[in-house]
Amino acid sequence: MLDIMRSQFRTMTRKTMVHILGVLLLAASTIMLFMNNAVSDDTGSVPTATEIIPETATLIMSLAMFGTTFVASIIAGDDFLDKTINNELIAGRRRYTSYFGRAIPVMIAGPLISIALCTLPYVIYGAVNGFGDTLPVGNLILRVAVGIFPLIRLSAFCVMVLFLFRNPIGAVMSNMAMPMMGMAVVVGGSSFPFLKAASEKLWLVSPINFVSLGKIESWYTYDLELETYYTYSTAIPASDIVLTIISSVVMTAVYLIIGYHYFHVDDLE
Amino acid sequence: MDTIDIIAVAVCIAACGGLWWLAEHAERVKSPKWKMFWLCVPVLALLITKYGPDWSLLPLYIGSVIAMIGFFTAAKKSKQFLAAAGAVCMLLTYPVCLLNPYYRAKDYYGDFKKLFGCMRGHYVLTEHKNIDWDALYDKYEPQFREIQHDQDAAANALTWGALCGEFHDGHVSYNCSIRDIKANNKAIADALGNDYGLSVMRCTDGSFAAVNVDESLAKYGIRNGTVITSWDGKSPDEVSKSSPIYGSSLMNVNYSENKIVLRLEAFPDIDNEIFYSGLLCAGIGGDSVDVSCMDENGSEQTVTLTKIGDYIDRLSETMDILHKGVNIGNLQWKKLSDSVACLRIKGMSYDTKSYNSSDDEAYSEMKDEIRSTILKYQSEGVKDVIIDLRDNNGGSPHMVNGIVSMFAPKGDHYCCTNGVWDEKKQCWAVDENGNYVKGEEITFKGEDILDGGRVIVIVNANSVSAADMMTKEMESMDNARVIGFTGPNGSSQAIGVKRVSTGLLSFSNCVVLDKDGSIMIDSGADRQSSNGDGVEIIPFDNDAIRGLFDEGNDYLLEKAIEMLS
Repeated sequence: MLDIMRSQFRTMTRKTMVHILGVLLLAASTIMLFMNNAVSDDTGSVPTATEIIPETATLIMSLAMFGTTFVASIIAGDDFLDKTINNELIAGRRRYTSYFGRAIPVMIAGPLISIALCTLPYVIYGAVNGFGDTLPVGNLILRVAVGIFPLIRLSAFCVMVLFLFRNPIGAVMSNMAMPMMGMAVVVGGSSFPFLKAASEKLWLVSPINFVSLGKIESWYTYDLELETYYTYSTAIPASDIVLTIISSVVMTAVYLIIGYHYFHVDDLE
Repeated sequence: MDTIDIIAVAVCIAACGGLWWLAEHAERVKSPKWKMFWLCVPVLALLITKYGPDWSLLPLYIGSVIAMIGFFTAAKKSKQFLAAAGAVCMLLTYPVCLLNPYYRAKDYYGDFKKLFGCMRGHYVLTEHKNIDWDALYDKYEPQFREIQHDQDAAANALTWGALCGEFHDGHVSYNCSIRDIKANNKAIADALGNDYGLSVMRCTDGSFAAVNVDESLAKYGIRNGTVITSWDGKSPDEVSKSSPIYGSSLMNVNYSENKIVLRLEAFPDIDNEIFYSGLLCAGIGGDSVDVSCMDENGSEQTVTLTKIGDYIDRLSETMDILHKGVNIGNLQWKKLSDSVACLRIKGMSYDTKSYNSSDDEAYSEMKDEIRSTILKYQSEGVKDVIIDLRDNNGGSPHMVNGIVSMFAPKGDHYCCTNGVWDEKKQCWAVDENGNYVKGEEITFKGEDILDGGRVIVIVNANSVSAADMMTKEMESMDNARVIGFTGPNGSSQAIGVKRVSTGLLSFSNCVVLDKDGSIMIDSGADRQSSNGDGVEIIPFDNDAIRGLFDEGNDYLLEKAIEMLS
């Protein structure tokens, strides 16, 4: 199994498609941050990175989710296209080695790529416009750290879908639904009452839990010159952290079991 | 039960039926592809919904998981058994939803805690009004717990009205969600009681008089202006105080078939509360009430009045008559006589662009329009202007400056002072004595466009926020007078709004200070607003009642014209 995992990581680091998609997503997120600043700030002063996080984090995080879905669908999915998996099984490999040899790398690399995609744009933006101290960095790091668990769950979901479809294109199309749902909630939540309700009531177990972690409670006041002042609440209750981790672990197991069970009996044509 | 939930359960049961059939089919075809259908049921159960998941739908979710277990089994009978068991479990959803009072329950208690916590953290008049948050929480928390238990939207509306009333702040109010409008309006209408054919108003001399009297009461000798000495044996203001919404203003009432939300707001200024203190008594009583009044000969008589409808309708009509201003649009003009024209200002908003600007110059287009109209009127002989601010619900202070600057005597005039934001503490800065730190003063230059002409501003207790500010500025001008049956509302701090699923709460959130650094206009614990001292109170007497309710005149406007003539 270790050699399969190694080959997966090697493919990830060498496949041009992954590099292109990674750079494109990173560029899109970064440009979005700079454009958001250009559109929203009419006071003349350029907001710092920590100032724009509350306004942009959910959108950037939903974009970052694409990283996980692409990694899962393209890297592991390629092996269905070129029949690598079929050849492995013919060569006498156990099915669980083929399955988990792909699932584990995806569950490691997917979250790491998504985390990079949601933090690097702010690092780049901060390098240009400054980081500021509007939000406590410790709480932000905690949010990102907790976000790894929903991303692992998302990776497991993507693996399950991939092994059900056995086709990277079908898997990409299906898996894209998750970040798309995240973006739909962020951009037009009130137009999608189900998504809005689900993201509020079931945010701990919702597939878009990761995006919910980017939602920072804020309050604003203003003076008579219409200068706006924000206050933020960045801390996450400990109970939410624990529930996020538990729900992620449970659902990750469920997705992996379903995916493996299907693969176990699959004839692979 | 919501239609979408009925459909969701029905579709999932039908899907279980499909799985029963597929179990046999899959065995014949021997392909694992069919297994995927067993995963669809939980997806359907979660996706077919409008308001998201609910605990009452638990049998549906459990049933779908039971059916899904068929995914892991190979035997046809097991698959069929699981599909059937899942369907039976799903069927239980119907009785559970129908019998469970908490099906799709609204989170009144949770929303109370969210709104209360938000207001506690951001309300800027806590010290000024001496608000004891712990005492308020202890008083209202059990009530909202009970509301949650009973899922009582009506009680929620009244309790929020009472809670908002504790602040005596025209900017503290609660609006229920669209789903609760009907219950909200009914609760307030019920609290207002029955219509016995009249409203009661307190006159300036302290007596109580019948107003907006139904023609059917003529047989008892009760007409507009008839002095009411007692209501069911008690004085009218005493009876009013027994109303569950006493002290609440319903002055924004535009009650029509549950389309408009009735909103309770407290009177910030005690004098305004006293002026309206007789109004609520006229709805209180059973099927009939004994009303004592003075007859035409000056002797007291007691008559028994029977209920003829709901008081909400008569009260709305009474408020309309009392509060109606000149019936033209916002920033529209009406020439009242050869020498007097009237400018109606219903809200301090001109257009979106100017409203979102902090620059007085953003209102130059508005000022040009006003200027050209005044110049046109002046060419026709108009010298004086009446500004009607009744029922003006506020808006931009910069628009206030734009308008007032045109009529103000030449020179610099003071408007108000900003607070200072403490970036580190993320709150409005206070000094060592707990007073807000003064920021930049906002001033404007007078133009005196009337060139010696006079201005009369008409206000009422609903002239609030920016209209309050305008009143204060006009009061201080030598060429202007402010009149009304009462002073303006007495609330001028800018507002913040917090929205939750069951409604939204607005409250004073931004600091507006006076020149000496004190809170501008808003009343403190003594409930005396610093605004309105310069208002000339027009007596509410028999003449006013006759003019308003018999002759249908705009009494205050007539008074203003009389003052200018």
